[in-house]
Amino acid sequence: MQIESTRLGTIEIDKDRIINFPQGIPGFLEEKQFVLIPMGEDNPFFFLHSVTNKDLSFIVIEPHIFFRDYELMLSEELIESLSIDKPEDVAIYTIVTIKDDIKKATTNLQAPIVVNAVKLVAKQYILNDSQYLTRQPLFPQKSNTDEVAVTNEASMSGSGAKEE
Amino acid sequence: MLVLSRKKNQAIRIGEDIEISILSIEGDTVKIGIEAPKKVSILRKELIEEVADANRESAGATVDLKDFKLDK
Repeated sequence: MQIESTRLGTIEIDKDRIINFPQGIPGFLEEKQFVLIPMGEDNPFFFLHSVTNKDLSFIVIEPHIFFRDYELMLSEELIESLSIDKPEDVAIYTIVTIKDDIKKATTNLQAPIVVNAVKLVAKQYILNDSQYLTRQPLFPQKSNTDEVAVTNEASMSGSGAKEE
Repeated sequence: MLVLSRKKNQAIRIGEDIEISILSIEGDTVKIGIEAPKKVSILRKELIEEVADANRESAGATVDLKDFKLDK
């Protein structure tokens, strides 16, 4: 089927890949159906695009690509409400926030989108007491540019830090 | 909205299986205890608003990422 997208124009989507968010998404509770659209080959970003609202798409990533140690415990209630049968059925995405500069992009590790990839039901699951941030920088600031790295080095030697 | 006054160690019941007790009051901070079935989601409201704000910002992003490649 085809959907309209302000960002992408008219796009063809597979209606068997529509993901249902029975409770919507915080800030957009009336939006219940989305599709994942990869931005490109070797590109870690996806659009999570509303099926019914052409203006609405989020930028999401698979958090493990950026944060290898990222882990979360799914509550029994979540497992039940998404009808999850086994761990391999679960896919996790996190929403990315970008103002103007991609280097300053952040992602919400405290409220991952948990998807039952078999039954195509999902929820943005807010972790209550989380060690993770709602705005975790995607890219470590010091490796952004040489200039920033130099500044870091200078401040480290100034503070008496030893070289590794 | 229903408004009730409660003192320390008093509680209220909501429905059959939710109980909210006032554990302590210090200055402008009230510590409350909540007993509720597991299926009831309990979250600090400001956290939900923070998530909604981040979501709205993500939806409003205008940066073009289609040529982005991850450095391996």
